[in-house]
Amino acid sequence: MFRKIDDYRWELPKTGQMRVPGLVYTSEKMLSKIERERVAEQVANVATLPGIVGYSLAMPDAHWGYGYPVGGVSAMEVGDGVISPGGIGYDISCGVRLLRSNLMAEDVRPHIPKLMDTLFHAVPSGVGSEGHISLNKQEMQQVFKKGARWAVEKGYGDREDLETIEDGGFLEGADPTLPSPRSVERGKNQLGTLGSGNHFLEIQEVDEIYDQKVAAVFGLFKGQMVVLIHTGSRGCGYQICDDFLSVMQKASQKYGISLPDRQLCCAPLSSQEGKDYFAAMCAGANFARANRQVITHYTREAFMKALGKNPRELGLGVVYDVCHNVGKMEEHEFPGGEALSSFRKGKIVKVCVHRKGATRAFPAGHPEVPAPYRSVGQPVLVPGSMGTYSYVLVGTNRAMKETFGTCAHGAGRMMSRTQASKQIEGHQLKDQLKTQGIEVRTGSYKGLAEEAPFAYKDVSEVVEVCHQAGISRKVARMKPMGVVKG
Amino acid sequence: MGLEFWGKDLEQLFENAARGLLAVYGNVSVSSNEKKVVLLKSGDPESLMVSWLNEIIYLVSAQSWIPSQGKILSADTQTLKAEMYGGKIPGGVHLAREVKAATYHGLKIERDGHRLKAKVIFDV
Repeated sequence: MFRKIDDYRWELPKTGQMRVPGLVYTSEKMLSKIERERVAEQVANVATLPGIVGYSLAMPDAHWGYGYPVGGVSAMEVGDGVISPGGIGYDISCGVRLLRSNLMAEDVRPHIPKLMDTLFHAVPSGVGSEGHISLNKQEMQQVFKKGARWAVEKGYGDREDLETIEDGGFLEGADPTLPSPRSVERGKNQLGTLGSGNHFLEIQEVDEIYDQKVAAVFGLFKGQMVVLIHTGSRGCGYQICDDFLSVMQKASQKYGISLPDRQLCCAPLSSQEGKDYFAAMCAGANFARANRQVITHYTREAFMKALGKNPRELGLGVVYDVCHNVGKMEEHEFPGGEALSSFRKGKIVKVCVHRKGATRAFPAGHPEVPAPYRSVGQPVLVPGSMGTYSYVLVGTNRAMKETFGTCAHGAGRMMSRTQASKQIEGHQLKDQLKTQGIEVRTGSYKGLAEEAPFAYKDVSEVVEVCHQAGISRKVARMKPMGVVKG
Repeated sequence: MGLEFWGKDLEQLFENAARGLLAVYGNVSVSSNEKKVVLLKSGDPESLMVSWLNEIIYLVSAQSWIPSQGKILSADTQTLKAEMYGGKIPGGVHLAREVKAATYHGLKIERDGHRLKAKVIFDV
């Protein structure tokens, strides 16, 4: 089925209705998992969509998803290309934020139980969790428009936080009036909440530095305590996606787009339906950015309370905030590759890059990399599954040429939630993690069991493929000390 | 998470689909003193199934309201009328999991012998 290009690239030749070939980044060892997950079928389905440019891509953590694979990347040309809510996902702008600190992990370790209790109380988590903030329609529209900037203006954080958030903390293309009343209703009490599923807040120790120079630019050093926050746009984003999947079902018929799977429903980027979805999706993305900003503020307050230190002593600054479920209008060179038509190679093409479970990984010098990092490249945050390592990588020129500046987003699930919860009880897992020096706080032991580390691929293998394939470079590794599990 | 439902007709299929979804939530017990009537229209039976399930997901997510009993009053390939009896999820009661939405992925309603069968994948 796959044709080996090199040790880390496997091509899915063009067959049937595919407009372009597929390309999967993986090692020989991980290929069988990807084959089991029917990723090839889903990569091939995405390759049939109008206006797709280059390859239909899958990252090393790719696994079966709804329509699109999770870990799937596709670039649709502005003009005749389409936009698909299924290629972005329900949790619009779900992403990861890393906070650095002035603290050494060994100094924090004795305070971890108290700190975890304080954090668990400060940052609401779990199914349908509601926050300390309740917004009306007008305020929600401000969040949709301004994203993390809204939060900072309201006192949740500092201006300098915005300097190292993707897009400065908000997407300009948002139309705050487009999310439906139901999206407003589902989101109005959820700002500043983690939610459930695989979302988490972790206290971690930087235990390995691979690139001293880049790590120093990101403000990271060995033995440092850092905080990783993983969450998204909550019910508000799910509703925006659902509303527009319904719109796109009709639009696909209207524009005569043939679909191998209805979850891939889409509309031309130039159509009213396509433009409306993009603007509503940007609004949902801004809600997610505001959400992570408010959680950052609660995290700082919890640290001050639990450790009795002031903000300056703590130094909980934002390393970076990057989302891994989003559609972005970007300019790229038309990619090369022996299976691709060569007449446009190297020409600049404007595309909507769909990243569903995939992280942007822009290189040094790119104007969209925040100024403090432009000399080295964009930080790429790859969280592991609970109890395993997480990584910081940096974007590369090779990613820009091959993957529209994209890299993996995490470990990638390989066992269903039901299977995982049959293998271990939540309490048992909590005790197991405690013996490994990881304190867990959760409102749902069932949910905890569903997120057991063995349900995921080995994140280190995923990261190694990204590094060896050159679509990002390792900078630092973190190991968890405490987890608030959604 | 995927579920399969069967029913002797569309009414029973939609009713069983709702039962399946409530099982995903963990069969939370609430008083059934509040009535809600739902009227939905869609282009085909599959879209109608997604709309129906997402209607319940919306009520649970946005209003913390969950049905404990219900009945499909009428259903054809494009319209559905249902009445549900339920109430607010009591404070301190936790749902087994969050359901983001019922998806269109691999969705189909087909005849299975004398019955109708549907397969729905939920994003949880």
